[in-house]
Amino acid sequence: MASIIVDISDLKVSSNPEDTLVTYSLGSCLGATFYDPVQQIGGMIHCMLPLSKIDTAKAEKNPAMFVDTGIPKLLKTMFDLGCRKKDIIVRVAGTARVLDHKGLFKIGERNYTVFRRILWKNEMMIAAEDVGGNISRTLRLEIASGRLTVKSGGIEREL
Amino acid sequence: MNNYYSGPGASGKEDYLAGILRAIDTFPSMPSFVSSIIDLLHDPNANIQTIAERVKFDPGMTANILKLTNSAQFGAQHRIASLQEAIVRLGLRQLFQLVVSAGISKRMTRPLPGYELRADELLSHSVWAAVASAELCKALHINAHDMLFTAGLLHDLGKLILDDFVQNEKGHLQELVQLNGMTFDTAETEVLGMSHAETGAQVLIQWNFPEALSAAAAWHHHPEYAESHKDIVMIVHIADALAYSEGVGCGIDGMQYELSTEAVNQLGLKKETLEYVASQTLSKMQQLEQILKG
Repeated sequence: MASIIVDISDLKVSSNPEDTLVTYSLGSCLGATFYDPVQQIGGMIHCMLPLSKIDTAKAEKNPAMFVDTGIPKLLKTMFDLGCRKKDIIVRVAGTARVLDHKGLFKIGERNYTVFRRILWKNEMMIAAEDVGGNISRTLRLEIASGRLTVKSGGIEREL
Repeated sequence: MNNYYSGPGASGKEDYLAGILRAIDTFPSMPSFVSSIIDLLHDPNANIQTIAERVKFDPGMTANILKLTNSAQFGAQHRIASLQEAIVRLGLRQLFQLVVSAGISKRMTRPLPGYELRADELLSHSVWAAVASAELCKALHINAHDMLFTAGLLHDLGKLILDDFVQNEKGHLQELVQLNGMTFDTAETEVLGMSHAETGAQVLIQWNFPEALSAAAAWHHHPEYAESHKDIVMIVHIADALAYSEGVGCGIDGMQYELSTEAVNQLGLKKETLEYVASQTLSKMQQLEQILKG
């Protein structure tokens, strides 16, 4: 079984049932997985920031850095492989925040809000989520089964 | 002495503290070759020629200095091919930063099971903090302190020493954080007698490094208490928090520190600035990390 690492500001899609997509230490970053059980195709993204207007040149080069450019890119990649919107199971994790009374580091919450807005525009729903709080999370998506686990503080659970 | 934690099996705080102080004493200094260059950089009689001659003894160091000089972070306008040219271009203070970076970074690649950091994660976190510190100064139009990059790079040096102790007391530390709402560094001080911040600062003092560096290490979680070099301490504090927020080298402790309201207010920091800095930091940091990993 091959682990395919999804780095920070990165997205990966696989149709190989041997593969597991993995992303480590999601802090305020957003980790989303799209899984199509009909085609047995899964995608994972690790977005750092909510909106690409911060740096459009960077977004052009690396759309996965931002939620508003990364999620459409991931969706398109899966559609191009023959996935259909109605089959895709959407799960999301991360978007935590550091202890911050001023609310300056609301990057996580903003990531989540932008994600919801994009799904809403695409008429898609979140099937499961593990978001917020002040913990760091690791995500694993098995392509064969679509099983998704979230690990934080040494405890792994299925999402 | 007020020993906050005295649960079953707890070794005394005094014992731990004595152990940490011994570990600081015996913590290996910079490789002698690196120290000899650092000595030369502080020697008023040394000139560029003698420094270049010394650096050339180590082909790896020479190659690294050239790569770093030409990286996006240190921003050469045109490609620099010779060591002499690199030294002239950088100046001695910057050269000090590159020599230290190249000399220390290999040590930061080992995994730290106590903090639950995988191989290379401490280095990623440190390089992120170093690059983000520089980017923050740029975005806030603050003149960067000439030791800023190294201050960011070395702020968590103490974790290399404290890791064994944290591993030993992980349960207790996590209990204090989760049940009592302590920040991780406060829990370290409660259980072990010293936090990774103070530990790192002690090492830097022992190495006779510039005071700005030990101040940044000592106060990076509590910049409001710093008595000197407050500017550099506040910047490293924010860069460190941003690294954690973005999940870079988070470990068990990363999300368990508090952001200093005073630092945020004094710097006049806005969320747009933070997000812009994060977007600028990632690619530069990845490039540097590759060079420093060698």
